[in-house]
Amino acid sequence: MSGTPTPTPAPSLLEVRELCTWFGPDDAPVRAVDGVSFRLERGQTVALVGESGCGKSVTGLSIMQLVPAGGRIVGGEVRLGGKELIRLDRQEMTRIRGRRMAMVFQEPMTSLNPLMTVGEQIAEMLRRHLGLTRGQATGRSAELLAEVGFPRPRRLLGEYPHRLSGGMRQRVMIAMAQSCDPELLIADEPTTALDVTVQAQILELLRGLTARADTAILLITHDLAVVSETADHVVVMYAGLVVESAPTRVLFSRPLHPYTQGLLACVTSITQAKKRLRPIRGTVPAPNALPTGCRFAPRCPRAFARCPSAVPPLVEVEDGHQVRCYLHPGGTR
Amino acid sequence: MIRLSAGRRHPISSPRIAVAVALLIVGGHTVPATGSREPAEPAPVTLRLAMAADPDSLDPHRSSASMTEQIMLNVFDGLLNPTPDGGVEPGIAESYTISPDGLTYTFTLRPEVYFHSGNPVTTEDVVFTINRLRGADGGPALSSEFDDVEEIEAPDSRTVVIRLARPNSSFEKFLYRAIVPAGYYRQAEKPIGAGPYRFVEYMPQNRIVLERFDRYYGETGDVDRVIVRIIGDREARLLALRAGELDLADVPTDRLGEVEGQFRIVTALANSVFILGMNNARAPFNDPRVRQAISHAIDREEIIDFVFDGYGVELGSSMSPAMPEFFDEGLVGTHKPDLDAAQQLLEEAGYPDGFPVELRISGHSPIYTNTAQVIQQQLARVGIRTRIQVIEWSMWLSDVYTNRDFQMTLIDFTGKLDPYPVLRRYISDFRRNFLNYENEAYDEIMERALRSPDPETRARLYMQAQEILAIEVPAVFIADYQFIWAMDGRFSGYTPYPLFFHDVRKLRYAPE
Amino acid sequence: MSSTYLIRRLFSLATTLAVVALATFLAFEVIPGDPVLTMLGPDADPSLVAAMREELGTDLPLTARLANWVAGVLTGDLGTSIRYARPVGSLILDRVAVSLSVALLAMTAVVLVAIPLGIALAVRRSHWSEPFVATIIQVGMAIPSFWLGIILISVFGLSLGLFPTGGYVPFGAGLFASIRSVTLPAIAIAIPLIAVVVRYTRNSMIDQFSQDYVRTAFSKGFPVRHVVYRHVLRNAALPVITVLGMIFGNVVVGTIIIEQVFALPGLGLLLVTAVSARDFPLIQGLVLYITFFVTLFNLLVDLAYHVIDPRVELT
Repeated sequence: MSGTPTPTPAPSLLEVRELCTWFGPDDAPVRAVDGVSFRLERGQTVALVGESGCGKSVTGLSIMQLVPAGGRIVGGEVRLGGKELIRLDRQEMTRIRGRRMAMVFQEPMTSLNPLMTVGEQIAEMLRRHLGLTRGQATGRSAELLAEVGFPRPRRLLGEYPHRLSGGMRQRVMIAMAQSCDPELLIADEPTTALDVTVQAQILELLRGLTARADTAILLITHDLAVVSETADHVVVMYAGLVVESAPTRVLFSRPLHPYTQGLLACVTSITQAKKRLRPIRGTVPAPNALPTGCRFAPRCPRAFARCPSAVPPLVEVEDGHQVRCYLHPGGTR
Repeated sequence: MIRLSAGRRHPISSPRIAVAVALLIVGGHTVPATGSREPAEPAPVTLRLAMAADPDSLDPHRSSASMTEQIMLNVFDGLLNPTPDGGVEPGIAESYTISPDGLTYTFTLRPEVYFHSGNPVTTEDVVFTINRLRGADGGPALSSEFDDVEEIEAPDSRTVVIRLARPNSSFEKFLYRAIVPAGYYRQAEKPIGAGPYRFVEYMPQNRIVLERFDRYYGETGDVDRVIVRIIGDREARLLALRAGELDLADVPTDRLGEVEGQFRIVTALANSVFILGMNNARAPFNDPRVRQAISHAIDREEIIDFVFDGYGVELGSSMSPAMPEFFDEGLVGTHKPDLDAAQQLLEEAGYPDGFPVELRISGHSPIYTNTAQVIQQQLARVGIRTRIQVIEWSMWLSDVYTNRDFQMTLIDFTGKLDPYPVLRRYISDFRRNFLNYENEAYDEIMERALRSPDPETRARLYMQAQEILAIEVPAVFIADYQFIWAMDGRFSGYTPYPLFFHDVRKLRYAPE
Repeated sequence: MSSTYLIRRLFSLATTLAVVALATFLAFEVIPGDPVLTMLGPDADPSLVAAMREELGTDLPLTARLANWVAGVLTGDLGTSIRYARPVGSLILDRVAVSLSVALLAMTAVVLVAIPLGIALAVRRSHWSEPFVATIIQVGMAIPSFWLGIILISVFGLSLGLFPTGGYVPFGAGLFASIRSVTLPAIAIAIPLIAVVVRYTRNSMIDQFSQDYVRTAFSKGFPVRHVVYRHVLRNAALPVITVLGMIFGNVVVGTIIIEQVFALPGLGLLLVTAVSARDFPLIQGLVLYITFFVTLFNLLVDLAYHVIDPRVELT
């Protein structure tokens, strides 16, 4: 793998600022992502965590600008290496996808084109983006497959996706995403659909990626166990907003937001053999019927009078640790 | 379409313009399509006409559809040929005599008559033809018209003598049947006759092409080439006509307005007898009073107006005025529209409140379906409740016509040159007496007419027979309708016959 | 593709043909109607009717006729048409030229117009054009071919004189004239089919656009054109190919109404005539031919599926 990233004075690799992505009609929008901000440094792994429907996947797709039909980015900035992406035209964005940032999706079964061989699907990136010849592309494809752990990659090139297992397909996806050596890899629930044993392999692979190629990873997941093993930093989302953001160790040891605390309480920790499951009561509010004030307040065991008044600001309570909760109004900023 | 001369190619896309241009080409620039007699000859004249269905057979002895005859009579000549007034005149036979006892027919052949193959027509061909038709050539008989022939011989190279077992007054009229080359059995594939036009090609459901036969013994008129387009759909025929792709085509009466200015309109009686047939063997139609009541209830004029837009004439019996020699005008109106009379007859017959009846008709022609609706209304006025059942033509032929399984039906019989085959349909034991009419007096009159050598006696007997039919009403004789042909204005001289025959010989052509 | 597969399919084809032929034979045993009488009409001379029945063997018992026919077919002889007094085989072959040229012309138009149009309508969807497009497609599919034929004849034949109003010119009489004679019928056939295929193509494309692999393809940094042509098209092609195969199978065996309106001597018109004339040898021959073609096209569609989609196994 080539190139070590340039050191610190440069801007963050990825900086998301006040990102808003809405769905549905303009007069009654569904605010799936409602002002999300976070940053990601080179070689770092950041986990975007939350229950399903919290807007974490839409955030990932918004960064790629692959928001599904009906959705649109209505505000905010996404900067990749300092370059603002949202205002780029379609062609310029096309040049960034695949080359500078790539994505791995949740559903390995359907994310590959069923009518193209594994080899074709990897090689088309190499040929289009890197200008490799057919022969070169084949060779490189095999190498990439070897890197994601296939013992006989050449034989795999001619296979169609339907002949592969879910784990194998996800590895092909990773090989494909990795093929042009992107600075950023967005992995949206990459292990959710897989068996537990296979999950570990994939995570290992992602970890190896950051280590070897210095690729930054935005890991979108609802699984805190995965986070604890993989991420450097965790961003917790709830109802389209970031509610807490902290280095992984800090978050796991001192979660400040009641929602984060609730989430952690649900986790069957790897270190603890057995733990009583304490699910958070209530359900995630529908994005088109959000409560006023703190959006978690209706479910919050520690809610008090101030909570429904207005959405609490995200404040920095210590270095690198931000929280959006009236219980923690102060902070060092 | 008229063919452009060889070697001249015009960038013309419209067939209409092509025709016009072709007509303007006069003089030495053109090479005639058929053998040239003069150095400078105008472009060949093509008559393009339409036919609604394929010929049943190109073999003249295996064809019985009048539609086929319409075209193929141009290809074949008989010993005698039909005349427009319903008679016959010498054809291949230059002259003939009939013995006073009506049993011996002696023909003298015209010299220098040729088949399209180039061979001369000989007495051997005539003998072969008659023997083939009567089944004396080793094959089965192909026509019952020649059943009475006992012997045929050719005493010399120009004379043929036919002897009948018994007199048959219709026999003379049968002699327009095609004379064909001896020993030639491939008429169905490639017909060879001695008529004014020779057969060129036939593509089923597409076209038939004829060309003038230059060695024809008689006059052949102006038309050099005949293209018969087979177009089953009447709308398509009309469109082709209006587009100038046809010179002669039938036009439905209700569409006359579309072509009147553009074409010459030719009308002619079809010599058909259009009847409301009743099953005389079944109640209530076995009672003549019921049949007469129905005859009174039917308003023929209303049918002619509604179905034929007035293009037709009322009938009183089974004979069309197209056969003037045998038509009795006095029988028209034997049963005038008279609801009171109809009602009274029904009461006498025991049906004061009428009865339900099924009118079973073929759906292949709108004439039947339209007439059925008018009749349904007319009969309702005397309490006869008609249910119309429309069936397929071939089912009609097998169920109604052959198995005689019906109460009432509509059919239109096309005419013949001779009255016997027209009136024979009501003879008790005739195979095709599908109306089951039985009347000994009628049978006897018909037999006498057939065997009577004297033309006057014969005509009188046929009139008597018709009178019986008019009074007894085995069927309601409704009308003979008119054919309406639209013909390109450059053609003239269309001559109607009492049978289906586009006599191309008689057509004249004058460029505009 | 395995040879056992082909053998099995051919065997099933033969079985289908045998069953269809027998069914037709028996059906016309029950349906009333006499070929000789139907051909010669009510004025037929009784001697001629008898002579022809004798010749045609229509008076023979069913089993004897069936045996004769099967024996003929096995030796490649489909018999002689009653109505046309010509060999059934050559009669059909003449018509195949007509129906095939119309079908090929119509299908070319369908493929060249409908597929690009369907793709374009799927790729460039917008709110204001949706109902408009849907209406046009609905109208196109609903137009009765009879009416469409008459309109085409009236405009291009009658008023403009660009094409003949009907009839068929064989290849032998000039290729250009021949193609000209089948152009209007081909258009009349193509227009409703274009509407059908546009709708299928468009819906299939739109359906594919929402698939996960399309999102993957975009995430790989490919422009729309690449995603559409390299990824979506092949996936979207499967239902379209099924429809095209079915349509072609139908068109190639003749289009009754269009042939009637255009006085075009194709297989459809021949079949109608054969049935109404009770021309049993011709009906049998045509039924065999039509069954063969429809089955063949099913087979071809299956093979095409297999070629395009590796998930489809030929079993």
